[in-house]
Amino acid sequence: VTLVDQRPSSAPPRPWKFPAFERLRVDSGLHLILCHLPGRPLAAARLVLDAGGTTEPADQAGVGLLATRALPEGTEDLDAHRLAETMEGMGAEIRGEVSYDSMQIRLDVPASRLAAGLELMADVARRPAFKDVDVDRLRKERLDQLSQERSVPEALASKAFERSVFVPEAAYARSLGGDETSVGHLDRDKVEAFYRSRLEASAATLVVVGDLTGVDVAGIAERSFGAWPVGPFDAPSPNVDTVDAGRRIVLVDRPGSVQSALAIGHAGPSRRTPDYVAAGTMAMCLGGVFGSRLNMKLREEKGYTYGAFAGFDFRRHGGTFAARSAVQTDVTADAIVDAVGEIARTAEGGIPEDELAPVREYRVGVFPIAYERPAAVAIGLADMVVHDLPDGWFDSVRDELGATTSEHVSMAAARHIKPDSLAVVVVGDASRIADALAATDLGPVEPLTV
Amino acid sequence: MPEFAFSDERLDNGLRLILSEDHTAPVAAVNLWYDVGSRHEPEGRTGFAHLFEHLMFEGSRNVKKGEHFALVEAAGGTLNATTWCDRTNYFDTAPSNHIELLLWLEADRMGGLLDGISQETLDNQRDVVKNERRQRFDNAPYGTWSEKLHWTVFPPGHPYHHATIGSMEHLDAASLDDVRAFFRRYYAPNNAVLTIVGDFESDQARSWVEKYFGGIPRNDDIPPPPDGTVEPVIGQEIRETVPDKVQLEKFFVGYRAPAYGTADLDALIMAIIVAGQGRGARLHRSLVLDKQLAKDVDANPWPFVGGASVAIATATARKGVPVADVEAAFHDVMAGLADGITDEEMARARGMVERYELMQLQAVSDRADAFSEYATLFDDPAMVNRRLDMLLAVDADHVRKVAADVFTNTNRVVLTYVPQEAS
Repeated sequence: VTLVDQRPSSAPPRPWKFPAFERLRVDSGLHLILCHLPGRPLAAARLVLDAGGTTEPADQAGVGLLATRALPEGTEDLDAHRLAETMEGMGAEIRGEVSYDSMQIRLDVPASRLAAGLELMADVARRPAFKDVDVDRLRKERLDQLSQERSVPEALASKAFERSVFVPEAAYARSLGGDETSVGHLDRDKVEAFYRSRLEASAATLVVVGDLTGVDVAGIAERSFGAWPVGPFDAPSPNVDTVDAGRRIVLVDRPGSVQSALAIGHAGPSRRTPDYVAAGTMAMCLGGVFGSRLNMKLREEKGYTYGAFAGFDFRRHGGTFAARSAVQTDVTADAIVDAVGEIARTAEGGIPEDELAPVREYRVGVFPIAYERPAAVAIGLADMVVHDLPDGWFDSVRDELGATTSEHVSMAAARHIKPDSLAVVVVGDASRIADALAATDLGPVEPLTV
Repeated sequence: MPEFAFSDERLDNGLRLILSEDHTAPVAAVNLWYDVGSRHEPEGRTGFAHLFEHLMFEGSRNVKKGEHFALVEAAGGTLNATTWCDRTNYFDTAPSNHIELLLWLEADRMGGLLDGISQETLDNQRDVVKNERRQRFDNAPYGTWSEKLHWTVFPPGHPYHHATIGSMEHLDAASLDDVRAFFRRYYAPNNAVLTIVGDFESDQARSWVEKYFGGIPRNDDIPPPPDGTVEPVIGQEIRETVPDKVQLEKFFVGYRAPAYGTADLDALIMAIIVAGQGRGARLHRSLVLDKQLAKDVDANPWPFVGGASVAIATATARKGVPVADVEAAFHDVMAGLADGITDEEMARARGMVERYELMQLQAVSDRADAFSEYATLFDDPAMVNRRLDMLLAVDADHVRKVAADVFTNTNRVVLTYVPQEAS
């Protein structure tokens, strides 16, 4: 076998810029962001509404998710069957998504039928039927889904983590999509009232990305998407108070588990934190790439897990920091000690340049891959709307990433990672792991039922 | 749909090279399909092809453990690999100035893997794979269904009788000698297809491929694929009730189906969409909307080239609804396909298949994988430009006929998952 021993060096990259886009506002009040990508066979659109999970009434958690599920069930003119046949027959998919920060109605469609897809999307968004029989069925399906999630270790870990980090009254303590109690009390009128009130409360933006040749998006927006208010996209700040507790182990018993699901972390900064870039880059060094500290230690050195990850969830009003993994039952305590060790080492010692460099290069280099598909560009532009980012953000953030130093990320680690405040959530077989967990010096073991 | 131009050639050592330039964005995908999957595994070594795939990231002659991932990520690239019954694929996407690095990395492990492996890396990745199995199968609700369908849809001894993930016992038994033998037998240039799609000049790419892969010798002793000849139908109904850590009763049905690459499987794919994919599908309309028996339904093909495929359908019973009622309604819907498919149903299925196929060719990485697939499985990379038309050309009567042949009560496995307490 003859191989070339010398690794080749690479030429400089061909320049790349985030695709150009145009902003307009039609007379009906709807904001538009148009991004023309000629020749792409698929197109994508997103209607961005200020109807995220934090805008839900406290006793109606999950009303937004139920609304998004009810939207494609029928419009004033098309019943569920006709709507499905029309939508799927044109190769379109229209569905709603909810995050804590927004509700988005998305369209994916072959570019050749973009105009028809947008018309149908307008019908779904502006003239939903919200039939009693449909909403009631979807509510029951949602309750069944919540019941089903009680069997899923990762879902249990997320639920226990939210409750361990935020005070019970906080918007972020409510699981996105609600729980059995809140969903149990929802009905058709509450779903419609919430959805209508959010449509009336603030400005909305329609993002359209793809081959726009011959598609009069502004005309469709004006004619079919209805009237919109002038108000800004800015709901009142919700309660996001956090639990003030020291490091502790929160143990959720799942008898018979052959692995333990872990969620280790605490509350984190909001999307507006000035060191957003440095903090995100630091988290990738800890748990965001294959060669991250957590993955190298728990997977590639110890073989405890199929993978270990960490990251911030930056939201408009706050957020979380969490490391996650699923580890073999027998080594649960050892794996947690190692994970907390890597987290603490990062907070205290930061990240040296030789470890930072490949992550920095990854983050700068991956832009043209990350934004290759129109649907991904649409997600990025919708994100820009939700977080009120300036138009040049995608290019300026790349410059900022490229200029990130070891000092920046190490300061972010010291500021945002708090090893003494970690909630160490473990979902596993308590009879097999509780003693070993108690024997660590990580903190008290508190059983929790979620 | 745009027509994608490409070239198709072989190096002297048999490596098939497919090049397709696309200068839309400064990115490129390097994709390798090896014609080896879990169906080729030796007796007593289920799971080995997949364990081997993990070792391909653990170092080779000039690449240290973990360095393959590190170098591609530091280039701003993304990468991974997957193992399936018929093949193993390795794929890297990076800014186009790094194509040469990607080729060097892939060549180093195609030719020099055995210089990088050790008992230590084997033991480590064996633990990782066993944890992958725990996470995705053993600890997940309903997680064992796919493995159980392999065991029952195909008879003992058949190449598809076992799942790609393999058994804990066989993973434990894997030795360095097995690794060496498997590598020498299957990881040869003449058992692989290398596809590059994206922003490059073909002549330049050819010279790099020749430079890095040209010195890897062919293997003239690659065994023929295992004989997957099997009866076209199972011949009976096989049933199993599985107590599991679940809240809702749910069943999975597997049918033996025509092999991938036949017109009958294409017709069956359309039948699966008509019956079980999307909100307009018969199963969704009947079981979820009209009768409100099921929380969700789904149907999918497992297209296999070696003898027979599998058609899968599943439904989750709504809480309080006996799963037997859901199953009875399900079989009614599947049997009803034999009475004919309407024009509206075909139009809906064609719309769905169009979007699905366009998605499969959207990014350079998607398209590279499609070229490698059609070259490896059918010796026909031009299928990239024909696949959608092949599916759109299926007519309603063919769908009806194939559905009538496949969705019968003597050609199915029914796995019913129930909460452990109820067992």
